[in-house]
Amino acid sequence: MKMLLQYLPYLILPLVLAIPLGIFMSKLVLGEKTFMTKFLAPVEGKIYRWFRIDQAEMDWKKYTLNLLSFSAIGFIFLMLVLKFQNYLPLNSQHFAGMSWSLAFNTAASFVTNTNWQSYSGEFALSNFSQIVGLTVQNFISAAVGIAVLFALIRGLKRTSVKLIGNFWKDIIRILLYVLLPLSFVISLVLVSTGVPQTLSGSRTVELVQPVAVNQDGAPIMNAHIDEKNKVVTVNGKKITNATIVTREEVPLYAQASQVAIKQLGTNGGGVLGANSAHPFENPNPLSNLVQITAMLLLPMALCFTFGYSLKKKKEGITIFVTMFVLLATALVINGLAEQKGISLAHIGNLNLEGKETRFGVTLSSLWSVITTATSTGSVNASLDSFSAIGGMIAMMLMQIGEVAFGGVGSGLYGMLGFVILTVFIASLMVGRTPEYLGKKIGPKEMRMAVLACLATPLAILIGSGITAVFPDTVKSLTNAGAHGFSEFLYAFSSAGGNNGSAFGGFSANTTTFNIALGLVMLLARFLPIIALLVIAGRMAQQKMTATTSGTLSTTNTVFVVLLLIVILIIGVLSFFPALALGPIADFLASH
Amino acid sequence: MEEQKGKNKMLDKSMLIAALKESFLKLAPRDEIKNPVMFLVYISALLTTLLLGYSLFNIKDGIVTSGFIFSVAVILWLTCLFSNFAEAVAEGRGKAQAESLKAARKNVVAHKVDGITHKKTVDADSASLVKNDYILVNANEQIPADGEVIEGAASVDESAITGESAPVIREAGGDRSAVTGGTTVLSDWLIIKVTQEPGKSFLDKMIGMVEGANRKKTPNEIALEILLVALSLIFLLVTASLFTYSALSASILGVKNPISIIWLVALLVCLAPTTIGALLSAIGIAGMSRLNQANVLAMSGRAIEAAGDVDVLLLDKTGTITLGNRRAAEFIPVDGHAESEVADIAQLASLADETPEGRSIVVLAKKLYGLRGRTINDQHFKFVPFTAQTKMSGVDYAGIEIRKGAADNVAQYVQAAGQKYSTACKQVVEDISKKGGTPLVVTRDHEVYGVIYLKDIIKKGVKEKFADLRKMGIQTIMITGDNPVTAAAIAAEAGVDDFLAQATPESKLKTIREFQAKGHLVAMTGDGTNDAPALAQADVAVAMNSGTQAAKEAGNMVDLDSSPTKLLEIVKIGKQLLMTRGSLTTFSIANDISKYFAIIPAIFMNLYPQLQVLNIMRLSSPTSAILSALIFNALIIVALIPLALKGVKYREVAAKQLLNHNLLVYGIGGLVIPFIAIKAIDLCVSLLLGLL
Repeated sequence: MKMLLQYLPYLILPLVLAIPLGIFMSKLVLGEKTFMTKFLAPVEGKIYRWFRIDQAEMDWKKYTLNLLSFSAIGFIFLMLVLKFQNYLPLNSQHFAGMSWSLAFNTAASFVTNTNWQSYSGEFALSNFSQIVGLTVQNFISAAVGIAVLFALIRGLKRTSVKLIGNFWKDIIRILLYVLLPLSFVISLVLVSTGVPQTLSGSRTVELVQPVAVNQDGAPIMNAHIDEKNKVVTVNGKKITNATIVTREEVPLYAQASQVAIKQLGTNGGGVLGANSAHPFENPNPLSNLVQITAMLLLPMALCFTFGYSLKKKKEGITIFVTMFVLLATALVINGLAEQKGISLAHIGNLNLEGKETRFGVTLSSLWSVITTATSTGSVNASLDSFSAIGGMIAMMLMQIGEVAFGGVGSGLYGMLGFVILTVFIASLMVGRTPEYLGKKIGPKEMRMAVLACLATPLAILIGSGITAVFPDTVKSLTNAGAHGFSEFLYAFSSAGGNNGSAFGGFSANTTTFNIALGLVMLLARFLPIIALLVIAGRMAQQKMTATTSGTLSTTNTVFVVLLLIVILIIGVLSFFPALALGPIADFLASH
Repeated sequence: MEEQKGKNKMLDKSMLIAALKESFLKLAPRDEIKNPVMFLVYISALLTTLLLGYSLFNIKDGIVTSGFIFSVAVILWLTCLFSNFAEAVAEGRGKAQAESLKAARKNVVAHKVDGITHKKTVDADSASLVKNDYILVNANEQIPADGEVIEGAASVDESAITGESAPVIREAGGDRSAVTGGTTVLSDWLIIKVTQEPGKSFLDKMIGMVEGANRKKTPNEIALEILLVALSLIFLLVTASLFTYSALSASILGVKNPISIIWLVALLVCLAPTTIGALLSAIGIAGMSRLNQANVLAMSGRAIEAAGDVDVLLLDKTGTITLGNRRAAEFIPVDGHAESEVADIAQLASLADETPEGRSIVVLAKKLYGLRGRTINDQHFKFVPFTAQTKMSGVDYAGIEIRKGAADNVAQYVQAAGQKYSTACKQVVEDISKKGGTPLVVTRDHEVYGVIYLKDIIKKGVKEKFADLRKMGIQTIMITGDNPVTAAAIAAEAGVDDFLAQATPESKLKTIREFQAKGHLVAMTGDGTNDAPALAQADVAVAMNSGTQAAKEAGNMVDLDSSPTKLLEIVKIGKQLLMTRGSLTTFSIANDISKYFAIIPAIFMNLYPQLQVLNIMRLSSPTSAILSALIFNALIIVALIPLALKGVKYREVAAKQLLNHNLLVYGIGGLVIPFIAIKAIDLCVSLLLGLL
């Protein structure tokens, strides 16, 4: 109960902010004037002129083609930046270029809004790569997700036309009116909580107390250090190949701005390897609150955008409620599991391992659920150390395609895919051919909806199914038994859900996994995008059928329950065997 | 009704045997591939049989026995056969109907005539007739082809097609000019212009439709199939990846992969939506067949689905809402005359009036005042029949001139004789019109005595029926030739949502277009040629079989009974078809949960014994668990065949209640039933295994 009370502000604050933001964004969908138009319209006009953007509306084919080429160019550009960062400026630490496979993986990861990182930023990336490469994609991939949703809303709203909006106009407006101003504000708040924002580069400082490490760089426990003679002893025994460390490098980057967009755009890729568990990305409970709010803000707001744009507020609220129930359920189960922790023989229950003491159990488990429920994937604790059930909840949230608010745009359009499936079955049960918001769901719409909903399970099952038999896979795992399998399954679930969070304990930076995970991310991102834009195009061309009491209502409790069941059934049916071999076996082993 | 039931049972036995044969024939690959979900089972059965062959030569994985593989193979083949059986049974009904139709389609001699002079020229075989040929059909000859009557009038026995034994009149011109090949002229003769090419006649179409030969998958069926195929694909990947997952898990633990391919095949078949997959086509055929049994022929399966979506019904007043005929309800005297006087002269005026209205006047007068005994054979009576000019009828009797007629005509008649037309009468006439009745004014020697109140009799139960339809979101619009005042009154009494008074073909078409523009789907019935444009515009257009060829071609269904109330039944059948599909899909998918709980603990027993906790049904052994799940999977198909054929229960309630009800029965039922059934089967199977 106390735990639940602690959660409340983290849910209420984003909700309070989301409602006005959602209404504001509905004006962008509909092309109406906002209070910012006065200031930004001239800038917008200039951008259109600079890039010679044709402002005419597009049909779904043109919209999709523009979106895909834009993403493809972004992908190639980012891959080249990462590969050749050693020839590019702002590389004060003289990092080498990434390997081809890692560059492919990282580019795929950031273009797909996944932000899976097979590297640690502070040991691999120059400032140029961080800012011009990754941060740009953090903005752009988020804007692309929202643009797809905008086009889909227009498709559902319009009748008997082919046009669903102008891709470039959508992208520029989303960046200019939403992402840039919001991330600016969030950056300022983060700076005030102590997150650094500098281009000065890392600084080297003296350690308060020296540390001894072995030849692998791992700290030696219970070491006694004689600094003068440079001798390290443990229990009086001399350790020969030990090194004494007296200085440390403090990783200073433009953290605040990158952390802001990483959470706001549900990207999740940290500047530092430790992500938001690192005090320089997330120093205290206040910054923690700000970041969780940033993760939930846009995905929540878009539910209201949906309802307001369609002039059917209830439809948006229904989807919001469905997502909220999913999220709340996950929060409760995960919270309870983490309170209990892992029980180990001779030691008893452990629940703080892998968690930061400044956040404690409650805020760590809260974060783990919200980061996987939204498509963010930033972390403030190590999931590998979570209880089996805690880890499973995070995994399941990604496997169902991240629709409990989900990624910006992608969460809602993914949910709409499930809504279409639910409507299909439920409509038949009331003796009608299926329709949603007055638009019929025929064979073509169904094919696309199925593709959108099943892209995530397909990508995860194919990717993990094939790589499971590779001989090297076992070597990438840290833990034995079912927990080891969880590490493997989590990596693919994270890529397939376009989440990007890592379970930890899984060495993913191998050629095989870089390519496999990269492909999984691309498939899971772009298949649904194409599918939903096709649906948008087809829906826009349809007439609107009348609503009567014989029409299936998509705004009542029964529908919410049904939608939840469809989501869970597809998720559970697809992954029950895999979960049985991983977290379920893991959980049962200790009980 | 009883007789029909007996007939059905008779058919059932021979039909079941035929269906049994058919289900084996349907095992041919080219038939199986038409149903993707069952094709997956088919391939699995083939694979298992192949592995059984290998195991007999001792090539096996050492996890399962040959006996087990044999059992799995048998169950899988049975699953395929059950699915084929369901389809064959559904087709069987149509086939029986088609056989009787085919009997009507025999080649006969056709007397071809010249198109202009209509003189007999040459005899030819009916199969050689082409469009625009002219033929003569004499009494007791079968009409050789579909056509339109150009000359003559005859009574025709259409029982071969409609099952209705009473002959009907077919004549040149008007709305009764269409004739159908295979029907027989009973009296007189007809000159007919052939309107269809050979092989495309109405009878051919009917045979094709009921036989299912022309049965194309409907859009909704295709959409559902896409969902089922996608689910099957996911389960294929789930089982395939399960094998590699288990290999990885085994290598983490350092043991041999303990999973048998046979187990995975069993899991795949259990998970794939085989229940709905097996019954899907049977549901569609059965829906069509139910429509045929209601004596309605749909030109496409799409039309039946549209019928489920219809939310506006254009109903003809006469026959649907009101009994065909008006009846006298009251005699209202005016200007100081007594009611009995009015009754008396009204009866006199109607004695020779053979129309139902006329008869009802005589009867009412008899009932109210015991007036009787005057026969029309009385020489003193001189009856004046109704003519289109006078629009009045009556009798001249002993120098007294009695007339009855519509108010306007009577007014003219009265005034023409120099009398004043009663103002009190005007008032009464107006009142009756407002109440939805028809006033007939009666006069004696040019003096208005009173008014007969003819009432439209609303059919029993229509008001409730329309209220139920309204709950389902279906609006009813009454179409009538009456004036708006009368129409409004009847509409209010019958409880329809709206009415179209003084309807013309143009106004009907306009009404349909208006509703469609607002996003409604409209259904209507029509018979005349002038109904054709409206029929062509309506989403579900039922042409009466008695109607013209043009009307039949414009519609997408033909009602062989030509019954105006048929629309309601068609909507019911359409909705029931869709509901059956949805409910069985829900049931099928809900089943999977229990199957997971049966099979997953069984196949991972060796790898992670702790997963035994998931064996919540406490199935006796892994072998028994897998076999029980498979047996349930096969038997549930057979168990649901009657439901697929009959359709799920249909009730006229709002979508919300329907959804709640069907979710409870098929959703929760689909979740719970297999847990119980699999446990029960397991008890039997383990007993058998123990005996072996």
